[in-house]
Amino acid sequence: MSRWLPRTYLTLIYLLLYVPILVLVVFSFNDSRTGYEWGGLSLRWYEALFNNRAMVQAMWNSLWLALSAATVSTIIGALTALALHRYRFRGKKVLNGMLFIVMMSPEIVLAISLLALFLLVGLQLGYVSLLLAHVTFCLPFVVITVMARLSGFDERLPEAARDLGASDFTMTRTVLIPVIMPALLAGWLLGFTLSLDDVVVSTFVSGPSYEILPLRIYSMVRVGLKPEVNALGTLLLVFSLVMLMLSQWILLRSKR
Amino acid sequence: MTSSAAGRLSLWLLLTPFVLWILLLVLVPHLQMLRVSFQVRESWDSLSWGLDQYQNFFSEAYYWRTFVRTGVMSLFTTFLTLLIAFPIAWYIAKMARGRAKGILFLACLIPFWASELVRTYGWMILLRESGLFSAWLQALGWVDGPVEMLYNDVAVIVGLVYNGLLFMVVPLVTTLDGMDENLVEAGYDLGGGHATVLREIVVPWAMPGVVSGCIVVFMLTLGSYLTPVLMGGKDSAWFTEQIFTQFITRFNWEQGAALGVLLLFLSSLMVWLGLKLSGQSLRKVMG
Repeated sequence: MSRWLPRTYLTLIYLLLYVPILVLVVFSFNDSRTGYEWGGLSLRWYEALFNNRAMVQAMWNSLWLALSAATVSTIIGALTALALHRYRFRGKKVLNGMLFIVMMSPEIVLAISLLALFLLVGLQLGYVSLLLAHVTFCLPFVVITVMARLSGFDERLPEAARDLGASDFTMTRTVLIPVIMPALLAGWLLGFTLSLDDVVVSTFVSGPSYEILPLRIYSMVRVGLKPEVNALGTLLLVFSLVMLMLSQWILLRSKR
Repeated sequence: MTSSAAGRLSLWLLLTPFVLWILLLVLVPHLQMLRVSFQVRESWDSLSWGLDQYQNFFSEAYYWRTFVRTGVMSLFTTFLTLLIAFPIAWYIAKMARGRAKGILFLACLIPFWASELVRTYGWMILLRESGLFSAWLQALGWVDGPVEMLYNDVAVIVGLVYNGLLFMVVPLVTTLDGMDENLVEAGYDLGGGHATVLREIVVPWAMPGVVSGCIVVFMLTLGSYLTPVLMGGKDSAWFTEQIFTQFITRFNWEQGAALGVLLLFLSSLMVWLGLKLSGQSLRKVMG
């Protein structure tokens, strides 16, 4: 088989994969206002962002929301993964199935069902409603990350710890937690990114009292393309990239 | 351990938060949505039960046309994604060696660590009238004035294929990786052409990966909201946009809930059909 055909195809596809993202990053440093001319290197769009008080507030709100959503879902997710891993019980299959349903079902369906619930029970839309919604869509991912780690776990380790006289508490602290720690960290980072990047669910369940970054970007993009958005998008991109690379690195390193 | 009382207790302690969360924030809201979809608003303060919302869906051409259009376009997008992804997966799994394999796989992954919003926005910069592609075409002298390539169905499909690509490549690489190259070799030795080997050996072997990739991409596409809203034109409405309109713009929850139920139903139906037609089980596909 000729070698150049597959290579050309692959090069073309990889170019198309990266061009949209690179263009965004490059133009965020462009001094010109237009989307096709290069006007020289400049940080003016970043400056404009950080001088915008509402924007900075939205950034902090987003970070705080992602931090809390990731933490809550990691705690609940870790407990769930332990239960699913250690015990056999009736309804286990149902629970496993629920995880997949939450992950696979359209975001917008989750969004409207949650909105209807929040308004029905009279919960004011804002930080709390966002947190509840974000934890809901982060949970399955955290559970699955931790479960994957536990499935490679040597069952004889906790037994050995017990045989050596360790109590359940000591065993958990000295054997179990160190083993699942990388998965917890990776799950936390994944949850953080999912929360930070979400637009669809947040559109429905956020209120004017708590503005978050992706929604601001979204509304700016809908009105028209502005260079400030390039800078915002780049910031969001860098954040997700760093978080996810860290998460993958932690998982890979722990496998060795 | 599982039978002892202490085991039971710790199982429940571990599981309670999750079970409560799923019950209160997934199950109850979904049932509530189902209930609302059967409600009919007589006047501002009186409600009755009925199938009116579903009847509206079938009697108003705009609803079911968008529904069918979204379904057909999602199928097309899924198929196109499969066509584009298969050679990439084949190259990564079967042709690349050593370090190149890992690097190519990772390089495929990284763009998807950016959020959908950022990725879609990147495409908008490229495709819009005052964007890069338009400028390049003009510089090449292929067109006279600026060309608008955004806000049409082709743009939407480009965006959707782009968003789905990774979810097709990963399961394909996983299944193709496990395939014995000698099988292909044997196929050729027995006198099979490219087409025969592909049809009789490669495709059957890759089937679990094809099915799981197609299911995930179809679900993502059908339920996507940002890409069709941001890249689509005035008359290329996606079904999810209608749900948004009913819920937020018109405040017609009953209708919006019914459309949500229909979307959920369609996606579940397609997954079930896909599994039935290919003779796979959900457990195996989701591995």
